[in-house]
Amino acid sequence: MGKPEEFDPRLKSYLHRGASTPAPAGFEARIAARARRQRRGWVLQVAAAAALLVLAVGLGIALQRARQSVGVTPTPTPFASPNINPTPTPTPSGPYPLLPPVSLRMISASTGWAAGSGTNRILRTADGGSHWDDAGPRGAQPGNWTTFFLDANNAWVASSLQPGSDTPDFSVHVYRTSDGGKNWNNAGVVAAGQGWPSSVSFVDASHGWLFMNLGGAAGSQGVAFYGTADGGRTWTKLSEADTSGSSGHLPLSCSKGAPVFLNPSTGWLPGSCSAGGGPFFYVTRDGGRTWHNVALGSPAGWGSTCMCEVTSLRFSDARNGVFVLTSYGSAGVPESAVYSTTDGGGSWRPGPSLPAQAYDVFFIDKSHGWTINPKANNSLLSTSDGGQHWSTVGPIPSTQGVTGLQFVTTEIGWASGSEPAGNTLIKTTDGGQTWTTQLSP
Amino acid sequence: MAHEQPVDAAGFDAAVHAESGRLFAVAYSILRDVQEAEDAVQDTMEQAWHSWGALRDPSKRGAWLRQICVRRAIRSRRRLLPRLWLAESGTVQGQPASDPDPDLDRGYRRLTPQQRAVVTLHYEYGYTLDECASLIGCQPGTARSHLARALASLRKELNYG
Repeated sequence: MGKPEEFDPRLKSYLHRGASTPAPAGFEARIAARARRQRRGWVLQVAAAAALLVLAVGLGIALQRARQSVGVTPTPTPFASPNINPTPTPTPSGPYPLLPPVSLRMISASTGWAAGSGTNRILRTADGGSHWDDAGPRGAQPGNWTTFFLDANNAWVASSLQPGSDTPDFSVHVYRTSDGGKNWNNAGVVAAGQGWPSSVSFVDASHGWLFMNLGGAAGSQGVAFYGTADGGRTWTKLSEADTSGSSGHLPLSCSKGAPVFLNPSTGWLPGSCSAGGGPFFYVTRDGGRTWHNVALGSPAGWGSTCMCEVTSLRFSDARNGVFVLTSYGSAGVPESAVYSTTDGGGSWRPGPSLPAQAYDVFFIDKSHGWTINPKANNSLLSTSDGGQHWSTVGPIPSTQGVTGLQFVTTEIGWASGSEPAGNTLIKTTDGGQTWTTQLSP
Repeated sequence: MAHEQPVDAAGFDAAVHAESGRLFAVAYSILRDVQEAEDAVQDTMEQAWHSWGALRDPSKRGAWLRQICVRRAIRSRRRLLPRLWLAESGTVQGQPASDPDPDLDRGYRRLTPQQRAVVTLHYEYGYTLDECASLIGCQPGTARSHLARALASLRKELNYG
């Protein structure tokens, strides 16, 4: 049997050899030549599709006239699974805006934001998603955008050239709006020396954090926190993961998820560790300067050490929050349990298990939540008793998977579906039984 | 939604030359097959052309193209019939030399494409698992499940207990 500590370096070396494999001779020339050919082919395909469409419409008209002539009454066709309604005309102009990474934040049943960071586009709706208007900063530094939407008026964009740029420019430009995207200002620049923004978050119009991913190695990940108390104009480096093992320091080991802050002083950093390392769950009580491990009680029947992770951390109000702890057995088969707090994160209690193959949850209060089984046609499941019981609602229509799910009431919610040409935005008004496409490529 | 757009062939070709090598590295890391990796890059560039209006700024091409390429790679299916251009070019590239760690190579190739993508993006390229989820088009928990199952499978394959 190999030594466990040898596994990660061995895997890392193997992966690096793969990523260093040069492209075969003549590769670029072939790609360019085929792409040029493909452009002509695309025109022909569009022409052929148009011809087929004309033929289909003509045939439909002929059939309709034939039915009317013999007095046949059309009968409504029930929705087939997946339930999806006709697509309204998208309102944003220009190229399709929701190229991933896509983030969605609905503030209420009427007002919300959607960001297509792949296109540096930010959309805002004020009518429940029937119309979406461009609301992003004009003239902002292009690059990789990380967004945060606090409420109907306040939003931030952190723009970085990393990852993917050969330049040594690791600065992060932060832009802010406080009037719903009508006006943006260049709030400030974070002079980071490495990495890229993994998330930006605010708890009010003043206090926010920039969470930098400094890159990972096998079983570890460097991260750094920058903080602001003036809405993003000035930023201070608060902490960075290291190998010191000192109290209050974040460890370099383990993978980190997205931090969640409850107020200007208190926040949590979830994540996962290598086999046997237990869950990764750190808390700060001083605004991100120092971090301390949170001891979590295991659900009945679980061992004290596990290959496990903390996900889906979210507070529905100042006191109530949940996260999911998933433990993977030796064969990688997961088992998940919902943890909850009713005292603002002072204590976390393990609760019921999640249905098999479900990993992420979204709760709008301590009782009502949803999860998705991606292995069962993106089937949506709901609970109204804090996860004690889950009911299958139905599939969420998406050909490649659901990347985001959010509800604002027990009936009204949105999901983002992954499609080959971009992400769809779909809405339900009946708790997930039927879905209407609001934006699609 | 297709968009009629002015053809900027020179700019597009320049982007192909600037990005295709890096895209090949990502695709090959996942697929471990030269021809499939080349197909993934080809498909990526075809989609890039359709979305060219959103990609003219060079600074945001890299990340976007990488994401498209990753998605193409994990949905790669070896074609039953060779493309016409293969016959035209008459160039079928050989595979690189065998990996010096054949046991790990064999175990890696047995992983699902999604598992390989998460392992590669997380361990080699340094993306967080949330970022991996966004790149491959799934929820964060699903990406973590892919990683856990992949590592468990590799450890078992390599007898790490």
